[in-house]
Amino acid sequence: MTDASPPLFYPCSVSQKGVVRFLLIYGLIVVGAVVIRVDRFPLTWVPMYSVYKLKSESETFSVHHKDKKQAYKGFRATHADGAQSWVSREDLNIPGRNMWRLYYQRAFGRPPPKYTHANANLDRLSRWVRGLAKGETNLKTNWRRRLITLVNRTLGHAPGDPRFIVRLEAQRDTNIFDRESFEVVKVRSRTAVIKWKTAWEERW
Amino acid sequence: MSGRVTRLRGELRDFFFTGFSAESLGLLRICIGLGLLLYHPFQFESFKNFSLGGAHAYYVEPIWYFQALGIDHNIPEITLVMFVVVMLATLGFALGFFTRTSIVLLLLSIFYLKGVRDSMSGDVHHRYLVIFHVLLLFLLSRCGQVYSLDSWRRGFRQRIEAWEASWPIKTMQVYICFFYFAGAVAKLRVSGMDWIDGGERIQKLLLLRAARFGIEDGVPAGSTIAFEMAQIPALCLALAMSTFVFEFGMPILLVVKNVWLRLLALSGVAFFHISNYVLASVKFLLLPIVFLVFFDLKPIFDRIRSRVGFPPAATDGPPPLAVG
Repeated sequence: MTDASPPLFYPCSVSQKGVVRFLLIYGLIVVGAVVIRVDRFPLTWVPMYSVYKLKSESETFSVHHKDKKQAYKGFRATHADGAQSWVSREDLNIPGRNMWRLYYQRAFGRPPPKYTHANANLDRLSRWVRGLAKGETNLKTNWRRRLITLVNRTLGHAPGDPRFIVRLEAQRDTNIFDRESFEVVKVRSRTAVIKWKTAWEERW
Repeated sequence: MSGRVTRLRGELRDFFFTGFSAESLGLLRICIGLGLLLYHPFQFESFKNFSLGGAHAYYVEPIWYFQALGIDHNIPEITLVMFVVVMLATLGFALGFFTRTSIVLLLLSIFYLKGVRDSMSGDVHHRYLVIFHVLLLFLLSRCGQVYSLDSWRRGFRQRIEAWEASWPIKTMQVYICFFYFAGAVAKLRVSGMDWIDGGERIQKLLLLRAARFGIEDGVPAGSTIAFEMAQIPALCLALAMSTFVFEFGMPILLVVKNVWLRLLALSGVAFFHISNYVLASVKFLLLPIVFLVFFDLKPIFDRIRSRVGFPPAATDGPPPLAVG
């Protein structure tokens, strides 16, 4: 039986000293990511569910109502030629959960949690590393522009096409709960309307 | 002072370089590999909604490495192929067949599939972080040289020292404990004591998950238990405090030698993840498969072998310990 030649990617097994050096560098990277709030896979500062601001003065909780049928039916679209249609989950060919998030959150300008994590209560070191002034937002984007852009691109429409979608609509109900009785005291309805702007063509 | 430093260095060296044998490493590879065969379908089950031959969905926010590579839309056929790759690579990893190649393919396919899932609506999930680091450490270890098809195929006869087997497993333990600890630090850092105060954070989360699909005549379309629990502030406060206690306390596991205490503590954490899934649909349900790294599987394997009529294999490593 022959001894196998040293396997690939195994410099650390040469000696304990090599392993110690690796562990120091690895530890530095992992801990460093936590210290300066890096959240890029495979590094993280584990920010999940960390953001919360106490609202004891408020007498109510609000919960957006996700109607799966409504979300899967999709956005009400108006095309450049004036025609109207629906852009459904099947049209976009995306999973159901992603469709809810696009429909009930991004359409209303609400960012994903990673933006909330990235912007919440930045300490001095995290701001310094990113070159941010106090109070300056770390991450922000125009979700409505992105949404109408991705819908058009997915369906193969470009600016100037008669079928180019110039307006998207989404509707959302919010149940307002009484903090004491947990009963729904009010239902608030909102419609998100995203209109295509000519200025956005530059970034198409 | 130098005496203390020398003592500390000695203790760290003992911690990282002792406690496990080559067989422990091999068995851990098999068990975690088999666990991952369940983990991947659970994490990517939403991909069943993709229609092959359907639209190539553009991403609302490509994950950072997709941005760097210019990948801005999904091709369902490629995603399906990568899912097959991830499952085959996991099987190869578990069986120890071209182990290192399997782990590399596994990591690359995880990057891709996670990228697809997280780029669709911009929500970046964190369920593969611990898995990634565990796999990375397996990649750097000699896990493919024992209880593996590679060892049978290539006839490895080079002895794997206990320190070579121990340091990857101990590093996995440290990472897992640090992961939970960092979670607690993040909560304090961002929200301070608001996170615990009155249990409101937990209350809001439970209510959100219970009522997000609607509520009719006071009955939520989601979890009724979560809805009921949200109405007990003392319970929500207790849950918030216990979350902090276990997350901050995880590093203590590194110095607990008693098997049963470890098992009790990790069962509690597993219960935490199960509850989160049942009450709030948080999909860390199967993450507890990685808790196997806190136990030496060799004595358990030997006991099973002797019960089914095979004597324990002779080892060159240290005397078997139930915990490393």
